Amino acid sequence: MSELTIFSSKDSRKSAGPIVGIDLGTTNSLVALVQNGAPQVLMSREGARMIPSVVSLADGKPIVGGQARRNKVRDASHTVFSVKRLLGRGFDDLKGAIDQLPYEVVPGEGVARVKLGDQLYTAVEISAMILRELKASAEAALGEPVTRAVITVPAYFNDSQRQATRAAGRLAGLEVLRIVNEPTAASLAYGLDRKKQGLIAVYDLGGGTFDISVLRLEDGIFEVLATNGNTALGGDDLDRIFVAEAEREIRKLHGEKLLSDINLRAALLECAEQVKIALSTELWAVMKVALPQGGVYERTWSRSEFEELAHGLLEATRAPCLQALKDAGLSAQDLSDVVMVGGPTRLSIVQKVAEEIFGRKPNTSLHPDEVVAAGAAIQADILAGNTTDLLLLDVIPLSLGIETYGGLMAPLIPRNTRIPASARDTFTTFMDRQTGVDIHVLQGERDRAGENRSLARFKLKGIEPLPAGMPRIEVNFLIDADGILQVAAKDLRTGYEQAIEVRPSFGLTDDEIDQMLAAQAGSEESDRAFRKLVDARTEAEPVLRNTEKHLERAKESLSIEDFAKIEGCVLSLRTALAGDRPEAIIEAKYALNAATVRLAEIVISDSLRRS
Amino acid sequence: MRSGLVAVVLASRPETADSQLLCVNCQALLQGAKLFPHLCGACGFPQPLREGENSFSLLGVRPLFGQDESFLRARFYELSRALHPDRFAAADPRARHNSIERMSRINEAYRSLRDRKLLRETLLSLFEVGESVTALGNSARAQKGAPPVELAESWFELQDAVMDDPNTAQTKILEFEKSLQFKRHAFDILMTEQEALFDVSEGQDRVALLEISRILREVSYLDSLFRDVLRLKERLGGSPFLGSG
Ligand SMILES: Nc1ncnc2c1ncn2[C@@H]1O[C@H](COP(=O)(O)OP(=O)(O)OP(=O)(O)O)[C@@H](O)[C@H]1O
Ligand SMILES: [Mg+2]
Repeated sequence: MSELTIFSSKDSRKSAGPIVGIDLGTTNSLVALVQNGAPQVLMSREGARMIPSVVSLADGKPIVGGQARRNKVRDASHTVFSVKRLLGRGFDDLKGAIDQLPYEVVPGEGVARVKLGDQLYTAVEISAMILRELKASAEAALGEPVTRAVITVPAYFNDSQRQATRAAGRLAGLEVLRIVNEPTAASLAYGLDRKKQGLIAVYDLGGGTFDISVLRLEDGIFEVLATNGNTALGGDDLDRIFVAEAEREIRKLHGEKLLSDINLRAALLECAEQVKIALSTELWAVMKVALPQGGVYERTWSRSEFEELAHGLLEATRAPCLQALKDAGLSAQDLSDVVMVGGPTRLSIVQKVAEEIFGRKPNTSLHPDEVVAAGAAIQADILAGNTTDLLLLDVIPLSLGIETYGGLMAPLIPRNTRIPASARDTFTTFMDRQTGVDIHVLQGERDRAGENRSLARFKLKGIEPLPAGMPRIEVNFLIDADGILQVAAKDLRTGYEQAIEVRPSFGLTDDEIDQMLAAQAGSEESDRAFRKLVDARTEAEPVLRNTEKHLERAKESLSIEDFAKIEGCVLSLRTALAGDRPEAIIEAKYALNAATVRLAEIVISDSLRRS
Repeated sequence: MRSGLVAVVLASRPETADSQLLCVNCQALLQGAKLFPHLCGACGFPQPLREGENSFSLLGVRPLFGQDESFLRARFYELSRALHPDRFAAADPRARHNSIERMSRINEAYRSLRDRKLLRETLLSLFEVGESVTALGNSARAQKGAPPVELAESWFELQDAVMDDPNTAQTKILEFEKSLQFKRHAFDILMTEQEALFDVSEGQDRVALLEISRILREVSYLDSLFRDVLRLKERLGGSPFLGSG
């Protein structure tokens, strides 16, 4: 098919730099790229494969990743996490979901905002910070600018949530070439070697979302047959089992008031997660949290006790699985594999529930944290024109339609329709001489319009005034391979036509994003400088602390010159740390390091002698 | 009566354009290309949708009721490989546009030819049998044609009977339901027969299509009766005579 290169102008794509794949997760985010034909996870600037999806304030400026994560408990009121749960959702939408979060969510115009220090940020902005960190990591790892990406979202994300993800990408300076569904991406990584064929289910339980997808894999084609899920169910909810129990006991012993302490709540959440993770390998684990007014809360959990409570929660994954099988026209026995994806699938109770649902042992051989990013990288490589023997045929997760008289939803494109997709239907007026109709675009499975998500509204005017039922109004839906919906309405008699591209009801308009981008252009340089400063401080502080700790004790063992030299270096590092020049800090840190060689020897031999 | 209808339907038989088609990009002759009429054999440019292309022609199968599922799938995968917008991610906007348009129609065609109900609708609307412009926006639902008199009458009788004598209501409803089920089954057999007739005639027997369209109308009325009976049962559900079955 060499003729096709006439149109794919592959070369111009290559010169525009790599297209990376990004898994923007509730708890962890990753960036990957296909290199030499295989997807590779790119290391973060902190040297890790995963970047915690956590944003915190250091000296009034946002920082992202591992460092921010460590602040979750240390500085809970200046740290936000799991914002993916808020993405593309209105404040009213979030009731119930947010009272469990130890940070403040504030209603805004349409969108909810989170409070970080004394600033308010939308979930899109917070997500953009995480994406910017991923972008910077990829640039550092690759040594070239990265401006284009494929980003994954839960398959069951609705249109607003997808658009919000796209907006976050743009805000982070990334051209988002495709939004891919997480379980589908995972299947790409699973079936990459072409040995695995047939019908499979991907059971993806992440930090905050559950997805189930049923696919047919055949000769490099990955055909999604059906998808379903729950965008508010994940590992986070398992943590709450421990937190709820702790709260009950703390309330009983110390009263309600203690529980409003934001740091305590953050500590409980953090410790709960550790206990949960411990129980994936151990038969019991202890939850131990210091209380603000002194004393500790301590509770031992056995695995079986946890599993019993978790089982109830995980049962909520059954209905989506069965619905997906039904929509695919299959029964569980038709599947040749059930693939497990996501951190919590390391828990034996999750595997057990999946086994109960599908009647077979699930496949846990994939790397649960990395496959989604790997799959995103593969899809990026397909779009770059490098991978030509694989092709993903995906579907829309939720039905799209319009509101008809009486407040009903008339679906035009049913859920699980392959994309790109188009549909048209003809409608008419309800009243005599009616000259305008409201076109209200909806997404969801409910019959009543109001119970579905409203995506857009527009008015088709200029209809010829005729008796009711006479006019013919054709409504056209077109969804491209990106899942972006375009709607056009046309009066077939007058030929009058109106088209719109559906924009998110919750989130940011293109104009708002452009404004933010312009405002940010100036601050980017200062952000980078600031980041360097924070990095330098973080590296230097432990060196200083360690030196001071041991200096007094090792005083006698040091020569006078060594001691004086160290004291001098300590002083200049302190001065540098008080300033804002990262170079000065790094320099002073090196000097101190060099001056303390002898001190380090003494400390080490000392500790050896003692042990 | 039968022959009169044939004339009506034949008049609206879809035209098949047999003129020579040229590539919109390089003007090469399209006929004879491996993926005719989707891609140009000479330059690989995806062609815009043309007048007269339909679900069957897009997948290169005959417009009949019997479709081979594994053949459809193989064909669909072959077309997807060549035409999917991912293959034109970096191509010029015209090529991208054509690919999206063509692929979305092929997706729709694939879906409608694999589902028995959709396949019927697709065939009927291809031959312009039956009313296809129905759904109503900002407005009321369309009339689904007049209900079959005989069924309607027995439904009214049943309702009267239930009101007059609640003691025998349960039996009467069950009887009515059974007769509905029997009718439904008979319609299924009739429909299958007519579909076979149509296929055997290689698509010439348009009367069979009209028959199918008529049966479909009755079936849809039958289905609405099933729902009404269910509602009636629910309404009487609390009464001691009916239990909750
Ligand atoms: N060994 C383990 N046992 C139990 N749970 C674990 C383990 N390791 C990680 N987790 C949990 O997995 C979750 C994170 O999983 P993952 O990284 O797949 O989610 P994510 O991709 O960030 O979220 P999502 O896909 O929902 O957006 C957290 O709740 C974490 O506590
Ligand atoms: Mg994930």
